[in-house]
Formats: sequence, C-alpha cells, structure tokens
Amino acid sequence: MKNCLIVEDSKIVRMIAGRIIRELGFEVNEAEDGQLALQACVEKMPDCILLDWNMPNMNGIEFLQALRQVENGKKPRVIFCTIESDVHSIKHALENGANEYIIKPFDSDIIKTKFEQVGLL
Amino acid sequence: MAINNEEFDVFKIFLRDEIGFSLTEDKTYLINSRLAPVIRKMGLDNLHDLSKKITAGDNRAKHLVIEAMTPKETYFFRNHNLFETIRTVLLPHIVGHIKPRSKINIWCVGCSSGQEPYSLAIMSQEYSKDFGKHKFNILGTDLSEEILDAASIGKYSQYEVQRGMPANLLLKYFEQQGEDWQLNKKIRKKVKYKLFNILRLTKKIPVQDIIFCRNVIQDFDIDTKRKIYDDLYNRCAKHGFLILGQSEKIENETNKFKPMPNTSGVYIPIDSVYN
Repeated sequence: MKNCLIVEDSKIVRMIAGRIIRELGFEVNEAEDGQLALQACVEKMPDCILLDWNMPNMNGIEFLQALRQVENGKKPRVIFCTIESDVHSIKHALENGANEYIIKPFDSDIIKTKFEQVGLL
Repeated sequence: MAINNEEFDVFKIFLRDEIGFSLTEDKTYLINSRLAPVIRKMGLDNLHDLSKKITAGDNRAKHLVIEAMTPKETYFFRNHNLFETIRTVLLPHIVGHIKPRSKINIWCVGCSSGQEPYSLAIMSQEYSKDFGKHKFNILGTDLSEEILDAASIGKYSQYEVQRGMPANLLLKYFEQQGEDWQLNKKIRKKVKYKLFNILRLTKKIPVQDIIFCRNVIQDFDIDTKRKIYDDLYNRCAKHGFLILGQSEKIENETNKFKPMPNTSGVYIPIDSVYN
C-alpha cells in the first residue's frame, strides 16, 4: 500500500484530506509542520506528500527545499495544498520541486485528479 | 432561510480560514442552497443553530459545511487516462487513416462550460509535433445558449480550473484575473461552439474523427437512445471513435458501435477499420 504524508497545521483539513486519500487506497500519516514532516521523512520516506504552505516552525517551501536534499528525498511526489493562489506562488512552488499544486478549497475530485496527474493512481 | 450578518460572518470566516473559500455577500444564496441539506442531516432547525455549532468547534458540522460548500461540476482532462489513450492510441490511428494535411474533427456533444473541448485544444497545442501537419477542428455543442456564451469566454473560477488542469498548464495557458482564470485567446480560438439539441437532428454536423458524448444521453429512453446512436454512427468516420461516460454501457442499446478492446468508455463503429 502506498503511503501519503499530510503536512498541515489545521486539524480539520488533515482530517478531511486524510479521509479522501485513504479512500483512494493510501496509508496516511500526518505532520503538523515542516520540521516534524522532515523528521518523519528521514525515518520513512513516503510515496507522496500533501503539503501546506503556511505553517509554524518550517513552512512548506522550506520543507520542500530541505526534503529534496536528503537521501531519497526526490522520490516522493509532492502536491502543495494551500490558500496561496497567485501565479508567483504556484510558479515558486513548481520551481522548488513541487509536482502539483492545489489551491484550497479542495474536494475529493481535485485530489483524485491531481494524484492521477502525478502518476500516483 | 434567513441569515443575519453575524451568522453570515461565522460561515465567511470559517470557510476562509479553513479552506480559503471566498464567501462574498453575492453568494449568500450558496449558504441557503448548499447548507440546507447539512441542517437536515444534523437534525438542526436553521442556519442560526448551524452557525452556533461552527462557533463551538463542532467537528462534524465543520466537516459537513466544508463538503457542502465545494460544488460538483464538469472538469478539465476528465479521466486523465482516457486523454492519454486519445493522445497515444486514438489520434495516431486517425492520422494513419486521413489524408496528409487534412483536419482532425472532434465533436463534444453536451460540452457545457467548455472544459472538455478546451482540454482537447490544449492537448493538441502541447503535442502539435506528434500530429504533423494536421490541424484540429474542435466543435462544442450544447442546449444552452447561456452556457455556450460562458464557454466562449473561457473564464473559470479558481475551483473550476483546479479540477483537472495541471498547474504547469494553468500557468502556461491561463491569465489570472482576480479570483478567476481566463484561457488565452489562442486556445479559445481553437474551439467553435454551436447551439445544438441532439434530440432534434436538424443541423448538419460533418463526419467526425472523435465524438465525445459523455453522460449526455444516459437517462433517455431506449428508443431515443437508439435513434441518437444511429445518428452518431452516421456522423462518425469508419476510422473514428465514440467516447462515452465510464459507467455508460451501450451493448444492449445499439448494434452500431462496439467497445474498443482494452479501453474503458471508448467505442468504435461496428464496421470500423480499427484492428
């Protein structure tokens, strides 16, 4: 079973995204910020990461930059999931190694199509 | 259901903070129409009670409100694998059976707000080198003049573009306008829209290489379906394809088309040249 790490400081968003991603057949783990997510990745690299941008301690971009430097850190498909909706932010995320980008609000259709597009389904 | 300013603000702030949903006053109707089922489901009396649950941090209420406020509509590149099949299998087959430099004709029946024909237009642009000198004639038809006008403008909400449009293509082919995104003129010009009722077969549609008719006629009676399939057969080239919704099964409804092997939702004329 493929593994997805949800990196998100909102408990309710983690809960909703987790339910959707489990229904897609993934094992789901959660981290509340980038720092905790990086620790989780070093211990066990997930197949994909759903990543918020604005979080305490380490934000999504900082996490992504650090992730891509660690061993096997280029392996996970990373999908940003954030309220940052401007062209500059999307471009910045893709340039820093994100595979896809979701602007909140999301639903199961959006997550499913993005997972398909990055080859997870 | 009436909603006062205080209750409206509860939903507005909650949706903004939790999911980035922009609830402006002109969208008050959305609160009424989409949250009524939530109120019933939770056994509440009105929006006031639901707003109190949200304020109190009730997780079930929060979950249901978020689910209800995210609408369901048609989307870009619907069924990603199908578009890959079209690009890598169907179009090369068509190119092999048409004259050099002739156009590839694609018709989207019931095209709604244009996501399907525009997905094809973007694909034709992205992979233009694969199709040699062949240009595309993409036609979108629908029953509603209003929706075709909207499709021609090619402007979509943030929510709509996300349903299927890859981020790199969003940046490449769309211009951000506030909270909306508009397709560039070059892609918009690749699609022609026409008012057309598939039940009234009066307008002549030329023979097509691919006909998209996904989830358009599934609720029609069997006699009407047969007539429509007969007409689609007459308008589909022998080397062409009919694309239906994934759950649509037509084997007992027509003998004019048969399923294409190893694909889902793709049909070929009964006397197709496809092997």
